[in-house]
Amino acid sequence: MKNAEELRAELSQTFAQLKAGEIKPSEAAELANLAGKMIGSAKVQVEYYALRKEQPRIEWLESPNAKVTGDSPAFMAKRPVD
Amino acid sequence: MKTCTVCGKEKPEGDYRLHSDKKTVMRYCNDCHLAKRRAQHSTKREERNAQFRARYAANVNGVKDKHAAARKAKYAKQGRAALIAWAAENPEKAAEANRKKMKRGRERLSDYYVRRLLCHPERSEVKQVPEILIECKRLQLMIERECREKR
Ligand SMILES: [Zn+2]
Repeated sequence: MKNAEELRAELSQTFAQLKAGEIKPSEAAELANLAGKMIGSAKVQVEYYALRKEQPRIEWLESPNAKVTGDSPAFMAKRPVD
Repeated sequence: MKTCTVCGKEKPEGDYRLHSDKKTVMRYCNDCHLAKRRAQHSTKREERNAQFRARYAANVNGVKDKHAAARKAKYAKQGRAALIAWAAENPEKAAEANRKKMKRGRERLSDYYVRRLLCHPERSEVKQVPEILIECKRLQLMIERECREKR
């Protein structure tokens, strides 16, 4: 996964498959674990630059089509609601 | 004049309540009705409160929306400073409100909750957590929860 957008897509798909019972919880948990690590390391970078009061571009968080971020309809549908 | 079926007294129709159709009057007078209600008050209290709470939660008559709009208007008028001042004056109420907010956030995985998980305002220098990071974290949590449920 080259960037955060790809990770989001992967996670979104995995969640859908898990919900539908197409993949085993253990497989999904593995990706969630990996995602946690990727998010963690991105977070460390964000924290680091915030401490130095810098605002550099973190490549992993940048997306080729950054202007069209936001939730895809499919993603919104899956978000838990009360 | 109409005779009350409970106390047996003859009273003018104005002393009787109207049925919910707002046309026909009830068979017992208002005094008897109130006496009955008063007697019920303690025993039926919980049941009635539960009914009212359910109606409110279901937003019957749009009361809930009305309250939310009023809160929003008040906030727009007074701003955040008033809220902070209120919290300083009512620390216990503010803590309770915050607990509720966090509970709601945890259930719905709100932006507020996930952002706080990533970069806690009291422990982090980060003022603006990237949106995409919040979305990824939320999805990760959703998968983990689902896994826990399925196991
Ligand atoms: Zn009566």
